[in-house]
Amino acid sequence: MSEAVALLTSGMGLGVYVPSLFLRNQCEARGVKARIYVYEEFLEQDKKKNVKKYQECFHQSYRAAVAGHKIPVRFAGHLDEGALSGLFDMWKEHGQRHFIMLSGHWKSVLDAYQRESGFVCSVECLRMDYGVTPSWRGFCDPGSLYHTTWLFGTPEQAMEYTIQADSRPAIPFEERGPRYVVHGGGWGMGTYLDRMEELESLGQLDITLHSEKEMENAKAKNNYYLIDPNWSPWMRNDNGRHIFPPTRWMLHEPDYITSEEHPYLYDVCRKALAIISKPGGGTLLDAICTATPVVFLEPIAEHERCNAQLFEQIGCGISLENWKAEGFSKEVLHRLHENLVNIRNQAKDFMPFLLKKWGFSSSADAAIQNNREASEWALK
Amino acid sequence: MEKIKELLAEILSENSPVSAEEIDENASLLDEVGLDSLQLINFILRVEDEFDIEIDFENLDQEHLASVTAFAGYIQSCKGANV
Repeated sequence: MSEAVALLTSGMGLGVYVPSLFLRNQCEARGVKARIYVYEEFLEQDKKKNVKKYQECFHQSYRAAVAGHKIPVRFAGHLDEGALSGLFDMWKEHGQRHFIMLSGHWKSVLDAYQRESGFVCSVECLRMDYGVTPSWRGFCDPGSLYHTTWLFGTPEQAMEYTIQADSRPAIPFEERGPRYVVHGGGWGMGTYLDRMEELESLGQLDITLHSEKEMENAKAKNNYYLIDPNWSPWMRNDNGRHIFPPTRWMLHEPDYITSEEHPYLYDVCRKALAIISKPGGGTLLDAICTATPVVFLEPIAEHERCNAQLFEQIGCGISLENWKAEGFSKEVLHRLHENLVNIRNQAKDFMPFLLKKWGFSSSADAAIQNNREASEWALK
Repeated sequence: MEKIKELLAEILSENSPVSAEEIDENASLLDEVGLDSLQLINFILRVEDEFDIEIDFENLDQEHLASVTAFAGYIQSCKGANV
């Protein structure tokens, strides 16, 4: 099958953007073409500029972030008709029929495409949070054209799948240094910067920043990582590919670095005892992939409150208040790490399952077999 | 009502000067007054501060933004604020 899998994502939160890059990589590793489409790429120019303003506003104000997540999505911006028409023409030319939708904003676009093209499409809605995020509010599928997978399960059904973004084994807890990753999700939202004084006593902190100004209160014992403020998820690199957030280790690296494999901070998370953050879906996935427990700060929306509740129930995370009551115990984190290792090992990998369901499996399996044979040949 | 118009004027004046008197009480907040989503968020936060209320976003609907008067009625219903 020569058709590409279309990954429909959004740049409003990195919690759906980064997983779409993981899924792309997984497809390509199996010899399946995949293309990423970021919703904001297709917004009218003035609305696109507004997205950057939202992010700055939400980063600076916890209250604004909370309010912004509650404003009904029907007030959201409009799409550029010309860009959308070009997209439909390209999809029709390539016979595009397989879509993974990570943001509910794409529903109206896909409805229009299916009407215009007359194609019967296979659409997989991949829900990256335990609760309903703003883009999925009001999602309605009376014709049952869309199949939904809740990555973290539902109250009725336990977590079955994960995205195995990393073939390396998790680093054992006892081999990790006393360091903690502190961030506010992709756009630095929430209360993490306000809680810094309280967190300083824990050990070395690996902190994500969103502007150089935030280095003003830097401490020598900590590491600071700046996500390129000029980068947006709807930008592509010179090869036309979407990239992980370019990130710079402040005071140590002069340039922003990005890799094709993982976000820069992902490898920092692998070596940490815990991720201290608001409970976003992206953070939950990072936790499972790296077997690093999450210490939750205040959620900014109802779906994040649901995320935290789930992770506490299945023993993979703890609120900062509860951890504090446990005397910031490393033993508690160790237990959470072990639970995460079990989930990481037991959950099925979503992408290979879906490719097989869609009939991409023969080429995928052949590609893996070819790679395996090539490796064996090289070893001889 | 006057206070709401003042807050609207304050938010809109970040782009170009607008006075409270210029704002029509029957104008819709988005289409006619011209608030974009970000300005709407900032406006609502200012309203919460000014009237010491908490807006119930779950029940905030398009009809409540259909006019300045309708919005004033909605926030009055939130906590009996005197607007």
